Order: sequence, then structure tokens, then C-alpha cells
Amino acid sequence: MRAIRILIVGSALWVTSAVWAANPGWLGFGYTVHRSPNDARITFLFVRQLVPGGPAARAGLHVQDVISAIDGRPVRFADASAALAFFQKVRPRQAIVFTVVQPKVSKSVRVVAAEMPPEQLRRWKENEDLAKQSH
Amino acid sequence: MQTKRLVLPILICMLAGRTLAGTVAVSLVPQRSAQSCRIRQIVVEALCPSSERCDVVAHTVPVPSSPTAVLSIDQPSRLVIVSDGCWVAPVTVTNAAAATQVEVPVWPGAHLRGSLTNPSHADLPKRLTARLQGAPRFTPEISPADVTCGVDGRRFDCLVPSAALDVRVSADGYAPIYLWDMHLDPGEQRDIGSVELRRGASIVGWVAPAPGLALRKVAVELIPRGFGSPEESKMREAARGTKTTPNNRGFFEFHQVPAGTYDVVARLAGHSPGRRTGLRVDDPSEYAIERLVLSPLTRIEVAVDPPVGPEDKPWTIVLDRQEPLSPFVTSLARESARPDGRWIRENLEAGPYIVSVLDPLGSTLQRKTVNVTPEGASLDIRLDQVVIRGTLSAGAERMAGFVTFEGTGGSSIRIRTNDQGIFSGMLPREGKWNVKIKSLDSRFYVNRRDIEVHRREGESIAVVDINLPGGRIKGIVLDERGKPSTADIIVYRDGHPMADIAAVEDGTFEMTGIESGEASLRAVSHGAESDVVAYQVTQVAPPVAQLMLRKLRSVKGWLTTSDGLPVPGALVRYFAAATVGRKETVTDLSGEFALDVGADIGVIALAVLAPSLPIKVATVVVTAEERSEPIHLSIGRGAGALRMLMDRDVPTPWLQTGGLPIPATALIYPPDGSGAPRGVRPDGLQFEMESGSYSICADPRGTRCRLVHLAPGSEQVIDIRSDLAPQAKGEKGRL
Repeated sequence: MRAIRILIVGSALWVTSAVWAANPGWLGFGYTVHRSPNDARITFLFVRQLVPGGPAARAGLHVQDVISAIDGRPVRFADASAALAFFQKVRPRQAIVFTVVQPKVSKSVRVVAAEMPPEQLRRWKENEDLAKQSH
Repeated sequence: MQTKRLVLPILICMLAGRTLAGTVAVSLVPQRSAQSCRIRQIVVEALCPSSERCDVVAHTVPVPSSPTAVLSIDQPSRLVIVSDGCWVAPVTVTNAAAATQVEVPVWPGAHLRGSLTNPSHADLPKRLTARLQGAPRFTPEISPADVTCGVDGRRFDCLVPSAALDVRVSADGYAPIYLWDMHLDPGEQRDIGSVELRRGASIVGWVAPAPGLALRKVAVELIPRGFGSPEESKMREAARGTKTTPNNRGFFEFHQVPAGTYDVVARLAGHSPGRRTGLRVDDPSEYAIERLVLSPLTRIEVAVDPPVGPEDKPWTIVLDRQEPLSPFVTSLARESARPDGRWIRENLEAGPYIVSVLDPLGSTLQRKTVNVTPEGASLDIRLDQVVIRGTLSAGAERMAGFVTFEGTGGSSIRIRTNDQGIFSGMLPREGKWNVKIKSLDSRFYVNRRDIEVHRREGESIAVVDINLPGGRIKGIVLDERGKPSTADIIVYRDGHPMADIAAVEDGTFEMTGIESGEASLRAVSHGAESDVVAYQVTQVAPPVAQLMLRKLRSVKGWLTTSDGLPVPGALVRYFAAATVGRKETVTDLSGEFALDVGADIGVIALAVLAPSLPIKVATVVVTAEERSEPIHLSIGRGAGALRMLMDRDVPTPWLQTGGLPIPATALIYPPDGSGAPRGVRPDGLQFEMESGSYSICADPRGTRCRLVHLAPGSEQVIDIRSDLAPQAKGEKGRL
């Protein structure tokens, strides 16, 4: 059975389709969005947290990794809400390739989203509620 | 296997001229078909204490035809029995003063042969040693023994017993090679082919066998911690996440491990991981670790007394897992306890957990750390249910607001007063509580310490009247154009933040409940801060402070390795004198970063936490001009380990490198994906820092300091509990 779920986070409004029986896609990492101090057009994601044993950790993403591109496209999120919107559309079993910049080299890390565990789903909903309240 | 002992004692006293002391009867016991072996001689090697020079090296004792020899030996010795076609383990005689009988198994010999390859084409070793022991399932009676193998160019040949063996072949400067369950027949010459010698350190260990344990499904992971030189760090970065699987005996090994500190973790689904943490690898040698024990998942049972909360509502149990050696936790469960007050969680990994009991309103009544062992854990939590009633006032006036009681160990109970400042609620215990008070309109917060909660004798209710001082603060915040602005105002007293006030849309702010006297105020808003302004707190007619927000200056910089490579993804934490807490930024793809500092700030203390590099602590001077030269920071000029031993009761030490102090907690890395420690240890803090001199002080004012010189590759340990303790009797302070 398919249904329509409306997610409201911050000032953004969008619609995603979801299977009621399945939880959303889950990558298992926390990030912040940053702009380059010398070129505001350049944005990047900074990996702040990894869930031990989660999809991102298993795929080889590390805390303090700098993500410059997603699926080959340079990161160009207008703000944190835009990044959040992107990741909330990720479905279970969807693969995402992150380009990670390290001194001298870049590498690709392919993360396959898992189904969001119940505890993560609870937290996610709490955040969603907080976002609604602040909205 | 038949064992036959031939007894034909012959007394041989070949050690002429030496003091006759104890005698040793050596009985040779043939194993398998070793009766045909011919013992040629016994070499007696004197064992010398390592502290003494020893001139006597060895005596040779011929054994013409007898399987038993009685020797006269006057000092601890090692007997090497030489034979044709047989293998006999060397015998050590330690108690030379007494008559001793020794049974020595004689095994038919076999040869392990092969050729050495060396990928780096370095010089081949001149000496090869084989440490062997019987394979436990087949010939456990063969104890560990070392055999020197013959080496001729690339070829080597080791005489070993013909039995089922485990063999460890090693050469100086190379990682040992392990051969398991080698079944050798008498006289066999087994060619094991090419043996690749690899230089560098190796880590070996065992996963503890357990009945039915599926060793093939066990993953053993090598997780780097801390940091070495830049070159080492690159190698260790490559080793990140290295995994292996133990063999069918539970043995595992990691080769070519770069210098540094590692955790080794064995995991198997349905089991608690086995860990060896903080293994320091320095030399290119072998590091053997203790067995990693994988225990089945276990359970925790919590019983709360009384079984239900107010109005018979169930307690809520929250279970968090304390990540190993880390200050961070992972939330596992948040569920209602049963009506009988019990709550059970199955399938838990053994380790430390935090159990919290929440009342029906969500306040944390009690929070306990419990170590769940492989046998499980049960936790009895007794809640006193102390009913409290009281009033909140500031000066002579009642005050409406939120009162949050915070106890040691994580209790946090929030109660709202009514409009007359009267409140009631329930606390889980009597005693001292720290209390946070928030005004009803959330415009200010103030903290009070050590509020006593006690029921008077014969009374069931504890009366808690909270009387805040009547000192008042008033003011207005303006932006650079002179227009009112919203902002947060931090109130400092003696350099410590003690209250927080919100300025609303018209720029005004006001609070009460603070002691009269001198204080300092600073307004903080998005991208702007005011200077620190002195303020006189009074109860009547408080002065109106005017705080002018000024846009923060952006001080730019870039971070490179010592060989000039940009470093992306480094956390740059920075502090300025009298600033509002710690700030943090991140280096971008090119290693560039920007610091937001107040207009009046000229000196900044920095802590740089870069991936796979030592921590850099520096003090930089920034000029007042907006377009000043970027700061260039170079990182990784050699590293040493700095350990600070401390416990919960010791305040955070501070580090100085000739400028502003930085709290040691600013050097803690965020946890990595394995939950591995990132500077926090059970006994304190440990960081890999750039080499140099650091002053470790008891407080930011620089009292009770100790100078530490951190040389590259060194480790310095400072016990904060004793090294920075007050010397003078009666001196104030907890250190």
C-alpha cells in the first residue's frame, strides 16, 4: 500500500512518497553544512557523527571527512534545510556516492541506505516535531 | 603411539676441575619410532644471570650408547641434546644444587624446508628461528621450543620433531610467519615453498574459542587511534578499517602495521565484541595481545520501587549505551516499565550502560551507570518520592517561572510555579540540589547551587522556599546603526558566566534574582558581539546598560601539513580573552578557514584537531584591520603523547603554549564510527600533540602549573590529581 506523507522541516515544504510499512532510508551519519571562506559558492558537508556499525560507517565514511560532491555533483546546498530535504528523500537500499576530499587526494565512498531503525525513527520524528514547532 | 624408556645409567663426570654439586639424571624417552635414533652428545650451556658477564659458555658431554646420562652440574644450565635424525627439545636445569631427574622425549626428526622471498629485495636474513609446539589437538605434549634453522642464501632448513606442529618462523626485523597443524612423518623433508618475509610491525592474537563459535564469521578489525608523524599517519589512514578473519584455531594477524596506537576489536553477530584498546605499536616487531573474548549477548533487568509513579502511571525507562572509552552514548530504548515496576531488555552486548528512570512528566528522577557483564545485570532502583512544596521569590517579590532541580548523576526534575510563585512536585530523594530558574517568559535564566531539600521531623512534605537575591539588571542592545536588536546577554561574575538574559525585539533586557555588586555583560547576536561592559547590579533603580553590537571580524587562515599540503576537515577551536565560550570552525577543501572574532580581540588561542595529524595548540595575534594577512598554520612537526591522569572530582586542566590558556577538554576529538575513544580514557585524557613545551595548569589563571616538554615519539604523563594539587595547607580549590 502506498500513501503520501507530507514532511515539514523549517520553512521548507515538500512531498515524498513512502511505503507505510517501511521506514525511511537511513545513512547513519550526522553532518554540518559549510561554505568556503574565500568562495561562498563552494559548500561542503563536514561529517560530525557516525552511528557505529551504520551504513556510512560500514562503507568507510569517517568523522571529519569533507564531502565535496554527491553522486558526482558538487555539493551546492543553499542551507542546512536544503541538505536535510535532500537526505530525507533517500529511500532504503538507495546507493549514494560521496566524494570525500583528503589531503592531496579524493576518494569515493558508496553508501547504501538501510531502513531506519526504530530508535532512529523515533528521534527523527522528534526532530520533525521540533521543526514543526519552530516553524 | 608407544613410548619406551631405556634405562642404563652411566655416570659421567666430564666437568673436571669444577665443584661437584647436584646431579642430573637425564632419561631419554623415545617417541614414535625414535628408538633408532642415535644420541651423539649433550651440550651443557651455563645459564648466566643477565646482570653478570659469563665466560663459561658450554661443555660437550659425549653419550656413547646410553639413553640415560647422569650429569654433574653446579649451576643453572641448558642441556642441548645432539642426535642423528632425531629432535630433542633443549632442557633447562635451574636447581643445580639438588639431585634432579629429567625425562626428555626424543622425537624422530623431520625437516621443514623452503625458500625466502623478500618483496623489498633487502638483504636476506642470516638467521632464522622456528618456535614450535605441538598442535593442541594432536600432540599437546610437545612444549614450546625454539629451533635455529640453517640458512643458505634463500634456502632454509629447520630440524623439527615429526609430529603435528604449530610453527612460528621468525627473523630479526621481519614479521613472523605462522604455520598451523603441520603433520610431519618421521624422516619427512617437507618443502613449504616460498615464504614471503615482510618488514614492519605485526599484531597477532586469538579470539577465545567457545563451544559452537563460528570463527569463520568473526571479523577482527584494526582501528587506529591517536596520531604519529605525517608519514605514519598516511600509512595508518590506509590501515583504517583493516579487517581480518581468524583461522579455525582462532588465531589472527595484521601485518605491516604502521607505528601508532590501535584498538583491536573482534565482532560476531549475536555476541558482545572482544576488545583490546590502546595498543601502542612503536618498533617493527610483533605485538601479541591477550585473547579477545566473544561472549553471548546478555540482558539487563531493572526493578523500580515503588513500581508505579504518581497517579499509578508507569515509570519510563531509558537505556543508553556508553560507547567504549568515550564520553558519548547511544540511545537504545525508551519504554514504560511494567505495572510491577520491572523492565527487561534482552540481547545486549556486555559493557557499560546508563539507565534512567523518568516520571510521567518526563523528568529524570534517577540515572545510574551499570556494567552489564556477560552473565547479565540486575538493577534495583529505589525512589523516595519526596513531595515538595515551596515558593520562588526574588528579593521581596514572588516570581513566576520554571524551577529545575538537578542532582548529581543526571537527575533533572522540572516544575512550573503558578503566577504567585508557588510550586509543588516530587523529588526522588532528599539532600542538596542544584536549581536552574527560568523566568516564565523565558527571558532569563539563573542558577542556584546547593538548595537543601529535607522533610522536617513528623512532616510528610518538604518545604523548599527559593529566595533569590533581589539584585536587578536592566539594559538595551543596539546594533551598529543604533537600532534596537535582539541578542543574548551573558552575565559574568569573576570571569564565569552565571546568568543568561534575552533581549527582545525592542532591544531591552531585564532580570532579577542576582546578587548586588560588580558584574560584566556581553551581548551576542548573529555575526555580532558587544564589548564586555562593566555593570553594577543593584536592588533599587538599576542602571540601564547599553550594549552596542559590532559585527564580528573575519580572520582568515589556512592549514597545511609540514610539507605544504592543505588539510581539509580539521576542527579549529578558538578562544579569546573574555570571549563568550569556545568557538569552532572547519577547514574547507583547500585547508582554509575563517574565525569570527570580536572587534576588540587581538589575541586568539587555537586548538587544531586535524584528521590523522597531531593536535596543534597555538596562540596567534590578529591585527585590527579587516584585511589583515591570513594566518598560516603548519601542523605535524613530530608528535608525542600527553597523558593527563584525572578523575571525576578533578576540574579540567588548562594548557598554555605561551599565550592564552585552553581547557584540555577542547582537545577531545568527536567519536569515530566505531565509538572508539578520541582522547578520553578511563583514567583521564590522552592526546597525540605536536612536540613542544606546554604548561599544564590547574585553572585558566595559570596557578599551579607544570611545564611539560613533549619530544617527538615521547610520552609524558602528568597526574592532575597530585601534580597540580595545592601545596599550601588551607589553599582553596579542589585540585
